[in-house]
Amino acid sequence: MIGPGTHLPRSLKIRVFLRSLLLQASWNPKGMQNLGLVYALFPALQRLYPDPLARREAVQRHLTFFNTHPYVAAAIVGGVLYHEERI
Amino acid sequence: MHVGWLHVAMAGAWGALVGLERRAFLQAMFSRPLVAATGMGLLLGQTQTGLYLGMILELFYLGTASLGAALPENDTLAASGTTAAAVMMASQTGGGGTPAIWSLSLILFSGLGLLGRLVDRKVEVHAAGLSTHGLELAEAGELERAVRQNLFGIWPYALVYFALNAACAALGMWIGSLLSQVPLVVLRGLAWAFPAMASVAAATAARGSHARNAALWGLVGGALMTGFTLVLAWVNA
Repeated sequence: MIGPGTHLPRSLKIRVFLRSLLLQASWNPKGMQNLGLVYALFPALQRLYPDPLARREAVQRHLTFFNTHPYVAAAIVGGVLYHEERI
Repeated sequence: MHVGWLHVAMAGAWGALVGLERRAFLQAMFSRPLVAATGMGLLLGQTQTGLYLGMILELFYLGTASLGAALPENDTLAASGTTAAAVMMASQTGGGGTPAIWSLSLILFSGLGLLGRLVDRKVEVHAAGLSTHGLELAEAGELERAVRQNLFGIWPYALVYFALNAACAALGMWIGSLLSQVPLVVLRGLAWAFPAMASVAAATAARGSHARNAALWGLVGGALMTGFTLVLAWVNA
């Protein structure tokens, strides 16, 4: 990770938001929206975790089960980003 | 390319777009029957057909939403497929849409909702495989390939809904060519069936709202829909 309190640029957050629109692209009964969540967060995780091992842990952390109402998904993705910036 | 087959391709394209929007991308209500059907009608040159069919199907399917594990009947496919078929039927008769054609389309194609649900379930099985593969790739350190698995969940929706909507349009074209052989009394009956369907749709929507006196509101809504449609039919006669 870069450091606690790292702020992501607005362009990156917009990119994450646009990718979050594909949250249900691969909805499945096992992990539900897990792939969609990781797909949305990935640009931010790439920026926050330059170390490949830490980045892999971050991706695997978010590949567990995830499901939410798609209309409020952007808020949850934003919340996840907020906490990832502060880890 | 003959204009009929161009319309079949356009119907497939629109059906694929709204099918994707229903589940895989955006979910901004463009896949609701009212929008999907009206859009289909607008694209194929018969907005009125799309609007009338969209109104009825929207009322039938009011309250359904494809969210998470909830998988109702595929109202989007029912709307887009039924409208595509109705427009192509009407184009074969040389005129615009009529209540008889709309009734016939609803009778023949509204079962698409059940077919669409079956398709959705099959696509979910494919997506489960993508999720497993994504996990394996992530464990192997191939993170970009792992997250890209999400995008591979899109193509089944696009492909299948394109094919189904194009098939409905093609089938509508074929049925339309046979309409001239249908006895007039049957066509008249189908024309009268349309306001009856509208009344049932209004009653279904009222009942589904769980409002107090829902049955009364259903009756009022049904009577209003029937009266409105009869007046419209009398004015256009």
